[in-house]
Amino acid sequence: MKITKLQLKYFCLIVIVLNLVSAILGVLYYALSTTTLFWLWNLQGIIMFISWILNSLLVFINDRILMKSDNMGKKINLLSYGFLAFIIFAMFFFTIHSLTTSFIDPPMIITYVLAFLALIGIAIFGILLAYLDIRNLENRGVLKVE
Amino acid sequence: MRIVKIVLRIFCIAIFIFGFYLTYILFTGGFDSFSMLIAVIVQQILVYQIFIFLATTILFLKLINKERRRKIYYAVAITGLSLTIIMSLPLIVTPISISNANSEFIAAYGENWEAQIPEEVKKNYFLTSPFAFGAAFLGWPLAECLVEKDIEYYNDGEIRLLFDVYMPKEPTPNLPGNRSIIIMIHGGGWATGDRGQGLPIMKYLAAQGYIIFDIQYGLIDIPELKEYFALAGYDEHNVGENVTVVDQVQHIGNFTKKLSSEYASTYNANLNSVFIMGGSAGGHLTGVVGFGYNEGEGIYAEYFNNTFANNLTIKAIVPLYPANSMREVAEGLGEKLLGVPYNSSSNVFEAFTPSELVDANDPPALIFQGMSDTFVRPYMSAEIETAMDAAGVKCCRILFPFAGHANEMVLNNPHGQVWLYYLERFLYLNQL
Repeated sequence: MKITKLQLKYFCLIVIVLNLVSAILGVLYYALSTTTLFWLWNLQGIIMFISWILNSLLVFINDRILMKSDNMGKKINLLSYGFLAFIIFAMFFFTIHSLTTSFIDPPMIITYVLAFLALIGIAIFGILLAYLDIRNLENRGVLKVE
Repeated sequence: MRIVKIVLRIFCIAIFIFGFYLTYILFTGGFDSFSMLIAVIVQQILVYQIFIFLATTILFLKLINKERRRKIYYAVAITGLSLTIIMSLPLIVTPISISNANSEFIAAYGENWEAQIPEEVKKNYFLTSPFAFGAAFLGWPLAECLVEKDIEYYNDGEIRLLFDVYMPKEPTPNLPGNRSIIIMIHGGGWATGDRGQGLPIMKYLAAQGYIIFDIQYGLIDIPELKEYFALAGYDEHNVGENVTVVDQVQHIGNFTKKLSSEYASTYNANLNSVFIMGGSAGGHLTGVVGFGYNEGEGIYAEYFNNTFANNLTIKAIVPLYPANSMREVAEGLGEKLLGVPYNSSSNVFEAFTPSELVDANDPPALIFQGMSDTFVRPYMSAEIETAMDAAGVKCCRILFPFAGHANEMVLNNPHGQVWLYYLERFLYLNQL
């Protein structure tokens, strides 16, 4: 299946918006640290979940349409590998954070920092990948789109 | 570059193999003792595996030349996506857990059970929904409360027992807990374990105005169990050479006496509203204490006469994945459990089996039961529920699909969140 420039552009814009909203609400989640806004955390979580899926999908799509012989193509490809490695580490950080807050008293600040960095890092990777795709849309040497 | 790719491929294959193992644990709860132990933790953190497997699948696909190895490419894609979906199952079945809980509450408290809780309490203090996606991934926001630790309540020279107390941060008069007492009894196979199990729940409930006494009790000296449950940890001052389950109930009884004479006034706690809560072996002891509290006149009076303080009003009990038949447990653990072999004619086994103690005057119960629990099989809590139903006592037994033993402890996981939503409502409804 071929992807058009317009489709990729809209897809990337959605990725950028969802990652931004997810990161902002995620920061709010850690800053407020309360269960009274459960409806908001539900919304935040759904947006975050979708954004992480779309980030992963973008990496998969990029793998199909990137010209890896091009310099910029190579960089985006490397960034894609970086994202995949980072999201795996991020999940470990979240796991450690969940486990320590459940069993260790007082809670360890370092795990909050790691979870926070994981949240922000995934969003930054997603936004960067989507931004680079949009910037190179017209560059046929980088992306094979119609 | 070629070596890097080989290393990455090996990494992906290793993750996939780990995925098959997790699938085995998820569907069976683990049959071997090692897997059973792993299941306690792993089943609670599966949501994170969703993205580990999705990322690994994409990584693996990136490393395969689709044109040259088409079959391998699709095999990896199908395997990886299948593992990703399997890891999502605890998340996907959350509506089933919610529906199970709701049905139990409707059966016990009527169709409009939630309307019995004032809107302002629900709005200001309770979770507004049984599940929040954000919390499932980002971790549970711990509530703030006051904690006093390591207070001694019993010391006979051989065994020394301590408790911790969790209280609301400020003495706000209108908190939904109304300074009701929750006595927390830890699990650990009667031979190990210590306070601090269910930490986020205790903090959450303390912030709601409950006074939570997280207590120790004497531990039976079974070295194999101590080794097996090494992660649970234990206080060596609690282990007594001749301690049995009978003594453990006596220790908890001693605590209720000190609670009545001293701690209730020290911590301004309400003796007219007492809840007993505990998981696993602690769930069993919760059942024995809750149902045995009024047993001083019953057929097992010899075991319970003068055991407890007599001025507590036990409003309800909350046994989580409780063991039940002591004769059956003793068959596996040996005669150290109750001091006599499991095939003895003594009625001590029945006297310390919660379902045998149930009568019409007993308090209601809320039971957590993971359907994949291989430590304490679901039929054990079903026996308690059947006995309570027969006696006409309210019992809400919530079944959690794809949940194993102690699967509410990492509170932000889907099972834990649903559990807390219904637990806070159950406690409130039974205070009224």
